[in-house]
Amino acid sequence: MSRQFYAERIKARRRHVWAVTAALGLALLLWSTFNLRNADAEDLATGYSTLFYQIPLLNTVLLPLGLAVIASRLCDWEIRGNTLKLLCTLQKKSAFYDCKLLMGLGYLFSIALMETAGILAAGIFYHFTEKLDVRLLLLHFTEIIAAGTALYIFQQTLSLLWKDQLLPLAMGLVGSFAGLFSLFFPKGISRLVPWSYFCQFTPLAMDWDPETRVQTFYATPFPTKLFLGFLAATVCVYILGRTLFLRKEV
Amino acid sequence: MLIRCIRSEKKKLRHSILWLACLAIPLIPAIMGTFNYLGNLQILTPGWYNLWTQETLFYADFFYAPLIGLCCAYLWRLEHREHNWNMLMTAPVPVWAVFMSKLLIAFRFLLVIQLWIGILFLISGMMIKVEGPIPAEIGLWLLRGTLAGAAIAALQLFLSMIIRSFTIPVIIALLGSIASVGITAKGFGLFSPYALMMLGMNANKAEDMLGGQFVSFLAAAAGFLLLFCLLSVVWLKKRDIRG
Amino acid sequence: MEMIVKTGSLTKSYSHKPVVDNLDMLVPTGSIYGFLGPNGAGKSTTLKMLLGLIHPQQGHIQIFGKTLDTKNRLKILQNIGSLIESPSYYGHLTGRENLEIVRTLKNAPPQEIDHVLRLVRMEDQQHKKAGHYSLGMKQRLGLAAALLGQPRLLLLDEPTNGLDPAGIQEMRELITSLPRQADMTIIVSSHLLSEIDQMATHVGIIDKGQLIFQDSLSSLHEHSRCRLHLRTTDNSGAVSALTQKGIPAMEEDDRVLLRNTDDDSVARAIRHLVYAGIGIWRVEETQMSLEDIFLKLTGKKVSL
Repeated sequence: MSRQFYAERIKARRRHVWAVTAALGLALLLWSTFNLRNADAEDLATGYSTLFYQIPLLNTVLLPLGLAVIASRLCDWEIRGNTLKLLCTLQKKSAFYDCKLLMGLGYLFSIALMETAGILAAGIFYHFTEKLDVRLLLLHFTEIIAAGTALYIFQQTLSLLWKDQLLPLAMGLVGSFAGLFSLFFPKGISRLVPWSYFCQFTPLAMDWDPETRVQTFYATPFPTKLFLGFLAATVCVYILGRTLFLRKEV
Repeated sequence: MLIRCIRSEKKKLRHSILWLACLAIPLIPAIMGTFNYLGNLQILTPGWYNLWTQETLFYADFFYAPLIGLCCAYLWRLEHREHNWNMLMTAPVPVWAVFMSKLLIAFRFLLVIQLWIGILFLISGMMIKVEGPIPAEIGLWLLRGTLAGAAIAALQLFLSMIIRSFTIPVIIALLGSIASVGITAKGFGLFSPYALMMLGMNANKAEDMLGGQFVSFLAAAAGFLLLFCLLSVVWLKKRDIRG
Repeated sequence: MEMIVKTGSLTKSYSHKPVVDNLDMLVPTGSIYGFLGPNGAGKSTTLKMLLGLIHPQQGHIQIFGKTLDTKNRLKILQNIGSLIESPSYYGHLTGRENLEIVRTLKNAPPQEIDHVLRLVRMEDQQHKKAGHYSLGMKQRLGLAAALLGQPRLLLLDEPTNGLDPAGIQEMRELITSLPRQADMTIIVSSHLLSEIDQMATHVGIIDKGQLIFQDSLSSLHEHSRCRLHLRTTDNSGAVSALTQKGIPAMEEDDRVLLRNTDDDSVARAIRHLVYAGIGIWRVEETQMSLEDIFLKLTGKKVSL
């Protein structure tokens, strides 16, 4: 497996996938901290809560398309170079699928790391007066990884099955769009939209008073059952995606 | 000459699901925007204007550019693959016709998407029985959006031509659109092609976002359109063709 | 003779149309097996089944004496190098990096890369991106990748496709030298009879999915018994004179064709003709070409 992963890493040379990843992470950080320059004492007192609340929203807009792009980029060179028929004589098809997946998840992991580091850096740089809740930070990280992994599996499978990368990319766009809209729906409905899960697990809610324009954040219970259900669904997507890929003749 | 180019471009798009994507993706804002409108009636003033805002806000702010970017990227992807560049550039047609035919095809997609958005808006409004007359400005906004869209299409075609990647220009469109939200908030919207869409479509306010700036808007849209067409044709003329 | 590849009633159909039909392929160890057939005859499909890339509907495959199934497929493939259809390569990587990937997956020692690069004579181009290679170079890169890991069996699907004449000659020399150099068995497919004639020691001819001939090249040539023609002053007189004496003969394009070509029959025929007062200008011997043999076997002209 390590040899096969090493081969996967040679393939990624000169394709600058990390640049796409870095651009995504940077855009997320800039976007989420853009308004902090004008923050007053009150804003600083809810600095972390604001970020924990906002960044998942931005993830919902950016990551479905962003992950579709990464997946498509990692798979497209196989399709362009007719390499699947060669690789299938050298390694197990399932191992190929898993290595590709691991590679893509590595990029997702770096985005999650960038975000987490960005939150910490913003807190120090802008002198947040709110105390950092480490539990929320870890949860935030877990949320991106969980939602992103499920989505990435879906996108990789599409990108490997469709030679023409149009459908996977269009699905990324659909996902970004539908995910963002679903956030304005009641939880019961938004949970039916798989792309909304970048926002489903943060145990924070916000009240916004239109009169005073003041935001107040309050803790909500962590949806443990939903989380476990989502993990189970992710495993199902993985098994399904892998089976579909294995059944495809090269 | 141009007609022949366009005809061949149209043939290349056969058996492609691009049309399906262009018709299916606008369904998302239409359906979800309508429900959102219904769900927020206690905050919003009921009426066609607010339904318009609900349906077009995200579309114009974030998703229009990646969608047309996807169309443009696909138009060039066909050439970037299997050495089709060589065939395209040795065809007995001038390079401007090559680029213009692609732009016109993209424009056709754009027209259909804009019309479809308009139709979906009317259908959804009638289905939920929005009161009052349908504001005539909607037509104007759609038209302005189409002009802005043409400039964005030219930019995306240019990007997809030089970057030789299917996916990168699409993500650039999304990132550019997001940045443009900030640029517009600062009042410099006319300087970013991606921002023209939200200005033209009047997507987040019931009052006209352009105010008295309509002429500058037209100039900006036309200017960007011309600029990216020129850049593309010059690039096509100067660069060596690598199959 | 020991067989390195053995298939039994191998069958694959797509939408009820058999592409490979009850194929019993026997490839002797150490041979160069020319797999010959017109385009679309089922050559690639057969080779892909040997590699386990596609699954046969019927029949079985034995390679190195082991039955090919999902369990031991990769173990068998460890000792097989292959080059199927269009070359596989990563356009954004150099030739050397492409080989590095294959070497890693095959777990071959690093120094083998230089060895195979030398074998296919592309040391000078190894640092260029594969996407910029000519078709011939891509084909050589594919062959180099196939040679990595010192395989005992090499499957090459139309390896001279797209090469220039010098490249074709070089590729043929390379292929014929491999079994001697490295103790390899090679299955090479082609739609060119002359090519197989130059390279192979054994031949299998496939047409519409069916194996219509399979044996050593020399026995194929035995099928092409030479033909003897006579040019005479009076062809029709010669034929009737010979037929009267019980010597089978017929007129063909201005000439008289003798059916029996053994020395005795020829001597008898000429003696009779001389007695009958017919002048003989020339006695010509012509070899039956592989094209003619193919025509005889399949009953149709083959594209060359």
